[in-house]
Amino acid sequence: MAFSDADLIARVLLHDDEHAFAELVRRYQSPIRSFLLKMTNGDAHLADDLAQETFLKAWRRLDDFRGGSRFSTWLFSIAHNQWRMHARTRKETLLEELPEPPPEPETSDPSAHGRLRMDLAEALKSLTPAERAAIVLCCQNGLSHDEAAQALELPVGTVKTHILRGKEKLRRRLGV
Amino acid sequence: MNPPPAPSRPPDDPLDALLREADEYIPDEGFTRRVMAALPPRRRREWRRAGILAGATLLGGALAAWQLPAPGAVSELAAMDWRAAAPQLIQLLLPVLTALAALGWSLYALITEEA
Repeated sequence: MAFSDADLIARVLLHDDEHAFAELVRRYQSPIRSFLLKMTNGDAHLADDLAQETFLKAWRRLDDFRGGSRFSTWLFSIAHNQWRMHARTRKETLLEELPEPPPEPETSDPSAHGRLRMDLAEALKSLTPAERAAIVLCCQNGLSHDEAAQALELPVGTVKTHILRGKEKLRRRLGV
Repeated sequence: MNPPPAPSRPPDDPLDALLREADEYIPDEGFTRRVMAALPPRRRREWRRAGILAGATLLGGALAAWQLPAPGAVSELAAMDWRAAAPQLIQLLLPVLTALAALGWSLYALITEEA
């Protein structure tokens, strides 16, 4: 029988059950690492470091999780903060428009669909971090606008705007 | 039965389909093991325990103060030769010092647990 997130969290809180926490990490490692991979523009090593810090912080601060949102939303919120702190230390621009990246070289992938997916990965890099975060959370991880707003600490209207603008840029760039 | 919620976008939007499809599962490949190996002691909130400890200490201190001799007895002790007064002084001060030490320890525990 699979335990729910709430069951696992209760076991961690009551008994410091590391096995229960390991199950939570296994459950959410992929979406959190994937989110951070996109936020770091494909730097897998950095994304994994930030993801590890995300889960370590979740372990230390699990008392703060009140269950008012999904556990995944809370984790995305921590992950986004980890990335934001890292970006701040590197003095990266956060919400400003990034310069349009140069056109990517032609790939040797014979499949047009496969090429489109690679193009999407590159096109996501051309979005502002806020647009990218909103699109990844809502369109790829199934968060509602409210949940994404909570995770990104932005007003819901701003999240919707980021999604609309980001998708428009992606459509223009990909021609879909 | 409630009707299903209205979709917020057309179901055949190729961009949405592409975005969903492009989000592939990342295999664990030892990630969970690395996280678990780096777990620090979990910060726990011990307000209740520290509060009970501090309350008990204060109650004990109050009882100890209630047991103290009258102020006149202290001045009598002060007038006595220190060798003769030492045992009574120790008996007098020991509960007070113990209560103060316990209070200090509970406050220290409270501060360090919340840090």
